Amino acid sequence: MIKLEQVISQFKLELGADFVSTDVVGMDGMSIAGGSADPSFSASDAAARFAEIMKLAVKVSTKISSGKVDDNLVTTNKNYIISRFLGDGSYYWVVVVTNNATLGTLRMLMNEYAPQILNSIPQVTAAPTVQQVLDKPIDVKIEPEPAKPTKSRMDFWADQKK
Amino acid sequence: MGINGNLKDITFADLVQIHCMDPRSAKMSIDHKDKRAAVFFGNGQVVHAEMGDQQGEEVIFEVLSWNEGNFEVDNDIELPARTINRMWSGLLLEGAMRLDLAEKQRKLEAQSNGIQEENSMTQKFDEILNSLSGEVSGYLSSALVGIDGINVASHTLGDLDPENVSAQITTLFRLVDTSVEKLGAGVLEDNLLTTEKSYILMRFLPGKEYFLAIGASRKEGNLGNLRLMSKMYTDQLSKAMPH
Repeated sequence: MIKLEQVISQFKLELGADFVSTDVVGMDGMSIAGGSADPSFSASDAAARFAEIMKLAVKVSTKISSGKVDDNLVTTNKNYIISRFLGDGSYYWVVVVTNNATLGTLRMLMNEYAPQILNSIPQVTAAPTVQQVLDKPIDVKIEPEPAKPTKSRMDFWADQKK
Repeated sequence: MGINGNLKDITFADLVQIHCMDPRSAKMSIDHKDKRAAVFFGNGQVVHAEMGDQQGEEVIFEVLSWNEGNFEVDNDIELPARTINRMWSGLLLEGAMRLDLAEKQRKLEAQSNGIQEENSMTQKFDEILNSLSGEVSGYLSSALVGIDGINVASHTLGDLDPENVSAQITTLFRLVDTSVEKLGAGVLEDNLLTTEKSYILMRFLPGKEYFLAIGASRKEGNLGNLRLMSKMYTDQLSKAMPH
């Protein structure tokens, strides 16, 4: 994760004073790296909200047969907010800058840093799904149990009478 | 000199009834805008009315439609030649029926004007979107959409279903708007979705009840051109909106 934070720090430096916030976010809405330079801007809120936006963007794009989603750019009177998928879409990357920033430069920088960010995300071997476990054939050989020695059965009442 | 007042406070129909209960002759002068009418009463009936060159029952029917105007009554006057023979109750009944008919016609005309207005407004939107199609590189489609997701006007090249597209992108645009507001990230101006095949730009018209959506081909589209055209044409659409 250190490597990812380093790449993000470098990216922030390139943006300079226009930088507001950036996060690399899982599609569960949880940020794995990044943060906000503006204390009034909640990076974690943005991460969660834009995860929903990106999921909806994928649905919308599918329904209108527009293909895979590359990115979504929001323009407000204060900020630009760009969110784009990384790699296979397990993560997305959101960047917030002031609207003094040059949009063309920002997009160019994101194109440059996206592969570095993707390569810096720690790869965790995915746990097998339930289905994968159920589908796997049982490999263990079952030996028959050895015969137990016979033992006369105790009769409590018979013993008492004795 | 008899009573005087304004038709704002008492209707002409009421004044006729009151004076027809009095057997004395009387002349009622009524001013309304630039018109002046004179109505003569005698023996409990309306006997004559005049307004400019007009005389008789038609003057009564016109005065019945006035809902303001100063009047004054002179009693015990010399009556002119009789031009109205109908009973005062018949006059008022006929007058009420004519007013009712005129009101119904007025409503029908207003409705028809409204429909004509709507048609010409839709035509204007269609013209604007048609003009937009010639200005956007890689143009695919555009729509003026209500924030409820319903198309007001659309223009499409190819076989896109404009209703479906508008409904889908409205959900996205509304989510973006809410999110931006909750994050305190300012006032949303536009949202640009970039996909494998296209650019889809959504921009609010002032008031945020409608937005303009433009689709352009990813290969041939130009983002700068798209954003500029969206700003110019939202202005035009906004001016064409009824206020």
